[in-house]
Amino acid sequence: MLTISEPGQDKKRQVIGIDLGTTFSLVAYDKEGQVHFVPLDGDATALPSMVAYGENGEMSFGQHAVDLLKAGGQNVFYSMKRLMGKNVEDAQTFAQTVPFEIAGDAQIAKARFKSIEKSAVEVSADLLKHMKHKTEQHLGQAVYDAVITVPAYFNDAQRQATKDAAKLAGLNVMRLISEPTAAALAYGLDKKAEGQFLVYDLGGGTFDVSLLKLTGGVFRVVATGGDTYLGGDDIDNALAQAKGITTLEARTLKEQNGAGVADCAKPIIAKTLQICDDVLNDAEMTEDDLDGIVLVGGSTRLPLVATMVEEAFGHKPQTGINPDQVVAHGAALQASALAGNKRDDMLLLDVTPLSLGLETMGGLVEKVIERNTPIPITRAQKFTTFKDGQTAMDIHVLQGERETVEGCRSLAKFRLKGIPSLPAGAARIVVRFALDADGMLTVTADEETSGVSQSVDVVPSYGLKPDDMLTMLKDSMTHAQQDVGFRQLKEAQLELERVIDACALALEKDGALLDETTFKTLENALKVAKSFLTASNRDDVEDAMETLENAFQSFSEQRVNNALKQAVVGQNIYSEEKGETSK
Amino acid sequence: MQTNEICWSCKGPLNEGFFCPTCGTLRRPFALSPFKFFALPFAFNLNLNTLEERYLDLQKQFHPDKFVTKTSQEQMNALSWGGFLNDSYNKLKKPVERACLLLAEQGIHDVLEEKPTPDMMMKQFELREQLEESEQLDDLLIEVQDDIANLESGLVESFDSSNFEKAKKQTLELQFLSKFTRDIKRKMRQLKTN
Repeated sequence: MLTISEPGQDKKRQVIGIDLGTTFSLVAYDKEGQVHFVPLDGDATALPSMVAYGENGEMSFGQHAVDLLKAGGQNVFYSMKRLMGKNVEDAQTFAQTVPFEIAGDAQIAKARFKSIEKSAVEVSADLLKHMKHKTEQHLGQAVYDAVITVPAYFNDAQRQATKDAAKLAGLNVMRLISEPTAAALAYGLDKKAEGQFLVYDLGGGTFDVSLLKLTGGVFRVVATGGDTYLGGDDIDNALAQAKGITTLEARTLKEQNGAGVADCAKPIIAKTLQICDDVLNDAEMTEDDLDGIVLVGGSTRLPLVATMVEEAFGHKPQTGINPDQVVAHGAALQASALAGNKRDDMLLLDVTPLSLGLETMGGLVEKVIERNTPIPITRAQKFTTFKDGQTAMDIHVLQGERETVEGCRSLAKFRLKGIPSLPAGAARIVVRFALDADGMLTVTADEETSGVSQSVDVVPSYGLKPDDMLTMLKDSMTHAQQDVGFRQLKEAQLELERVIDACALALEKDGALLDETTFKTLENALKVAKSFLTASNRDDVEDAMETLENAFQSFSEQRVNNALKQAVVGQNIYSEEKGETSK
Repeated sequence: MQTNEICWSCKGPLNEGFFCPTCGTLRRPFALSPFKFFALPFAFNLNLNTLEERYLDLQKQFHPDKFVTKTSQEQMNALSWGGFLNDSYNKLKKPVERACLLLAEQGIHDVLEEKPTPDMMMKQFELREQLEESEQLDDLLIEVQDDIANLESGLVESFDSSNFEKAKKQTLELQFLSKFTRDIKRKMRQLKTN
């Protein structure tokens, strides 16, 4: 039996979990079954999500930026998560509640502080880069792979923007997971909680609620809801207005639970409880079906939150994990599980928070994927032409719950051309939605009559054009580029390992088909290829793979022919199958 | 049994399984009935506990999270299978869609696009009227839920006796009543909050 050695003799890279919050950000990692937090700001593990930009492009982060802000510094960017994935039009709706002026254009919103304009992606990328750097210093090794948390209720554009920021920071996003789900993972895995849980997550700028079933290592999200415009910041703003103080002063007053806080917080908490009710309704459950409630997010420190939640649902909220850390904690556990570090039995089944659909006649939206559908999912919908000889069709993809186009968010528009000229209703157009495990959508349209098939892939974006992304990538530090190079080498090595593995197994299984000389030749080819597993030049690795594949080609053909000869004729069980059907 | 395809990774022969018998990599997606994927008989009657069990078993094999450290081709395969798995599960779970799948197996497509018969239209019209006029909806809900239960046992019979024309009509009716139930519940919630 041939043995295959691991490529890349360097030690396994540490994977990390990142909570990229509106007010604070954290990095955690799972090492030998224990979750640790990275000191990101001096000794503090919670880094205020603030970046101050100096005159000459120098940056300050965290508490230092807070101090600059307090001292009257003008170019301090914060609460930028609220702008993530938004264009100017979106951003105007909450312009009153953010501490900056809204700039930018129809594609992407920016915040303007004094003279500098920055998008949420740019500021978040700088913040993530700083966090990556701090983590590398702390661990004494390079980090690359990360699980990043996002509010469950983030839409496609907001998720894409988060991924783009990570990419600019030189991070590989193994998976985006939602914040309440991460919190549930932490409680489920490290506190062994089981049953049906409501996770109530009130952050600085967003509110999320998820209903999860936890059984035997399976974490199943049943329903989720939220409001990306509702958070603890709103309590600060209400308090600031009521008392005529700044939002920063209001935040301090809130932390001390001072006079007048409850009055300002009450209507905001009441709004969150209404959303919780809707989620229970969606799942066709009542508070009696719940086994517990988990509170997440810094804003749940306000005692009134726990009181009102307990009143509404008759459960005392779970404690045991620091609510500021629980999201990063869960992200670290998920990163570890994805990297294949034990935790094999763990399975996370998430859902899409928002429905996805297509524009139909009369400005209406036909839902293709309903909200709370488990992801990933692929779903096809059939359409036809409504005019004789119609050769093109506009496909308009929307996200949201309302039945009209205006009430939903437009994700992408494209035109399917080259439909053969046929009478109305004769063409068969199939639009396929594929939603991946990160909640990102790809839409494909095919015309299936007369064998003509054409498809257009659309990856909806929040307005950052691929060219913009490329420019930003080029502008970003060379450090990130080195990481890209490293990644490509790793991928080539992994690919070579796969081919070697496959060839070795084939030789082991069907080597008897070969004469001794050929067998020796192939064995030798394997040995040569293996010596390239640790090569540091990507081209060399790829060449080695090609050489090996060529050497094995005729053997592969022999194996397939041999298998066919042995097969019973006409027993192909799949040849009669029809494709996936749809409505 | 063999298929004519070869493994994308080791170029070796494949069998009816989802993973290559030689190198163990996940195969590219191929056309498959959701019933076969879940190893369920082609019948309308379905044990929901079995469905749940198989679903979790399949998730443990095909969820993309299990392939994060694999090559990008295998990850794409996992995404396709994982997406097909959830779509199949959703369809099997919902009686209307399950019936449509069974009818499609018989070459009967687009059942839900068909127009209801005049009889059905009359009944639907009457029900809608009741919903609009009444504020006391509990009885209506019970009546409709009874009708749904009857239709579902009717569908079991129709499929067992291969009476697909009847099954088609019952599916259409069931589709209407499922939507109607949602409307009743929506109005009940509205009345409760007002």
